[in-house]
Amino acid sequence: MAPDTTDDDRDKKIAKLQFLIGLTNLQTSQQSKSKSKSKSKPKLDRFDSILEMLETSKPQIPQVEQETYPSRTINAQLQVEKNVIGIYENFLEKGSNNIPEIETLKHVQYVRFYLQNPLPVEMLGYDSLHTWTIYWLLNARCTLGGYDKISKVEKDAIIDKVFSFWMDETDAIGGFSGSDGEYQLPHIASSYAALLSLVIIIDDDNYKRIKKNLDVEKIHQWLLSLKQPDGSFFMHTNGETDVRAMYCALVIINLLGIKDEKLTENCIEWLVSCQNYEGGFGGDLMDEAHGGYAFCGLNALLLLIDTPKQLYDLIDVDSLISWMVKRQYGMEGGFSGRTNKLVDGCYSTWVGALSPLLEVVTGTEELINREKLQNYILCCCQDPGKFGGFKDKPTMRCDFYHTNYVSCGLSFCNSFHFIDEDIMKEDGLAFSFKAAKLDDDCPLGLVDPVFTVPIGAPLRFKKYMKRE
Amino acid sequence: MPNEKSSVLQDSGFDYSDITPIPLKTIDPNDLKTPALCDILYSDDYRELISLLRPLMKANEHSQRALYLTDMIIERIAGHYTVWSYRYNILETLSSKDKSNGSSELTNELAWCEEVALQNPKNYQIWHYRGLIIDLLLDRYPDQFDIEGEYKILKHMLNEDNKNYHVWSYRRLFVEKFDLFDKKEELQFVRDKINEDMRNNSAWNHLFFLKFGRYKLKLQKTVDDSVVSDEISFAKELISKAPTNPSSWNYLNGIYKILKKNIIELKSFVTQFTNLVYEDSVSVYAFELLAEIHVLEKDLEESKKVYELLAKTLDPVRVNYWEYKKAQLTVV
Repeated sequence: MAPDTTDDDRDKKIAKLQFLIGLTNLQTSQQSKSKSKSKSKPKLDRFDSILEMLETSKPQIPQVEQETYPSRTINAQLQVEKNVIGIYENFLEKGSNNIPEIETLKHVQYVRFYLQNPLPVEMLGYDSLHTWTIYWLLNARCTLGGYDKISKVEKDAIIDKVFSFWMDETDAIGGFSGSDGEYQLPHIASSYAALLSLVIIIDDDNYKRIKKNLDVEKIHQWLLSLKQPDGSFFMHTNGETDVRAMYCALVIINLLGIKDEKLTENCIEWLVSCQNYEGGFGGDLMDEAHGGYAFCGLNALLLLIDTPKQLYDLIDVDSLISWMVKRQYGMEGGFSGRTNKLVDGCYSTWVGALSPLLEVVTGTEELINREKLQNYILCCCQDPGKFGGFKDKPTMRCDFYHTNYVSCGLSFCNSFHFIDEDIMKEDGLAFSFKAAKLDDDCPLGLVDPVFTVPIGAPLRFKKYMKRE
Repeated sequence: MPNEKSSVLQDSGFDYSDITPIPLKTIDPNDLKTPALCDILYSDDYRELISLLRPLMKANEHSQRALYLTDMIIERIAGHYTVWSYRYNILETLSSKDKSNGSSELTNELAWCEEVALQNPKNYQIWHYRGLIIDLLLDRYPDQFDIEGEYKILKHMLNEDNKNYHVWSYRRLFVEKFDLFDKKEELQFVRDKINEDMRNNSAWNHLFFLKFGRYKLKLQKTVDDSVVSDEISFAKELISKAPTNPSSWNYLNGIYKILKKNIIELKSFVTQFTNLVYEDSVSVYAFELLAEIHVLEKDLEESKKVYELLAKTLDPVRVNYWEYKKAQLTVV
């Protein structure tokens, strides 16, 4: 399923052209023509890039500090550096023909296996995350190139499943519970994940059914019941409030077209106060800056404002960028989620999506180092054997969560984003992100950095919801 | 349903025989036609527990046997938010003022929370839940609340994992709730944490909160000069010990940012570290700050040189960022 293919192709070509002459940001391209420079950076092949990484990067902690002030942080960091360097050196020894590539096939097999077959009892912990597990696998499948390969049988099964989570017994309650709607409470993050699965699979054939089943007014009332005077949202009844809940609520509100003053009251003020002294966002006022919350915080703002430049009036954009780029570690190439913490593949999305967003906001070509992030993902987050899936770091095991967010991160490494100004005016900033591949041969699908679903899918969903 | 003999609840001491179970649907692992979409092959004991939980929740039963059931489920899935929420509702009823042992229900619950927390250090729900129980206790039996008990469990948790996000976040709320910003023990605890691991950024964040939280939260109009100078000295002292540590640099920078102080006064301090050449490491943060100081001094040429040095030699992984900073200079 790929509607508007011709339009997409044209957009890609235009975007690529713009990119090549150093104008990634269509929106500001008119005003900034004079200051933009054509920069043609020779692209290193992966072997040289890894070699360069090992040769030029310095360890984070100097020898003298290691000896004088040993600590848990130092031990943990040295251990990871040692592992990762070992892996990189091993690949370099094998020569440039053996540098890992994206092993799309085995990852697709992993994802399809777990979508098709019931989960073993060892995965019982996923019972309260059911809508999440479906979204993670489904979206990973799309990112790995399967967006147009989801069959009608699968789509119908997903719709059935998602609506089996719906709770309509209680009047005031809407939304999707974690699993088996008859006994689990509706939860904002579960609803978010459920809705994203519908966003991915909606088409001409099934949109009426989805529309009929989604009681938008009930969801609206339910979200209002979780809204706090300070602007924040409770995740669920008796639940916590944090930036995640705010972001997930705003995604739902935007997709269903139920934005109103009551729901958005004080949201911006509350979000802005969650940017902390380091430049990133914490989960709540004055909590530590954290990659996951930074993703939620920035995107929540983008779901509320009209143009990217408005961001400058609300938060300290420069210190967010400064904090973001520091998440990337020179030797590993991957991102950490917090200052002085270890790299983890999932931040390839949480921090990795911030880069294209902030590149658009600032009109900059590239902020993070895509090439080096990609080295980390390909060498350290996928298993060398025949089993697919992605993971946090070499010593860990693959799981659904990492499989999705590492795949998305890999897609961000191979693409750049820009804004379609017409869509921005018509449908809002959050829906206006478009993307193009840096390398046409890359098998990965393009990912929307705000909604983390295939690019274009959120707008399509929104339009279906308006269609009779 | 499993028969009585193999029931996971047979030693519970509670009678559940009057409840008509609502079983979870069964899954056919051999059905190859329909995608399973993450249905789980539940164990029999989990099936039994949930089949009893559902009718109890439906009937809003707030009893000891219901409480026991939630315990058994949380033991299996600590992230089961529905069960946490139901458990809270049960406790709210069991601890009401007209019950003879209402207060001990809540104090026992806090002890139970600790056991669960120790077994599930990464759990989201538990700390929020603990906060709700404490609110109930304070509301109904304020003299029964033991603040020292909180210190004990928090200390233990942060010994196990010194950067546990949820625990630090809980600690922050705790400080705010009981106005412990100036409490000696609290300050000593966080300074000790930093001293034992200077790269514990969570501890730095907590210190920032203790010192500047009331100002940021608008509970205070200003920050005392002595606090500001003490904290700047503290940060400088720790930067001198470990000049490549981002936590202490961010703390120092954060103070200047939040109070809108002029970073030019840091120039002589910063240049100590930009002149310092380690064989194996470099204080990127010192160079970044120096470049910003040059901007304020309107010396864009010097600033540009620093960014070029960072991009080319000192910090090549961030070459794009340093180029961006350099490009911004010409725009300014």
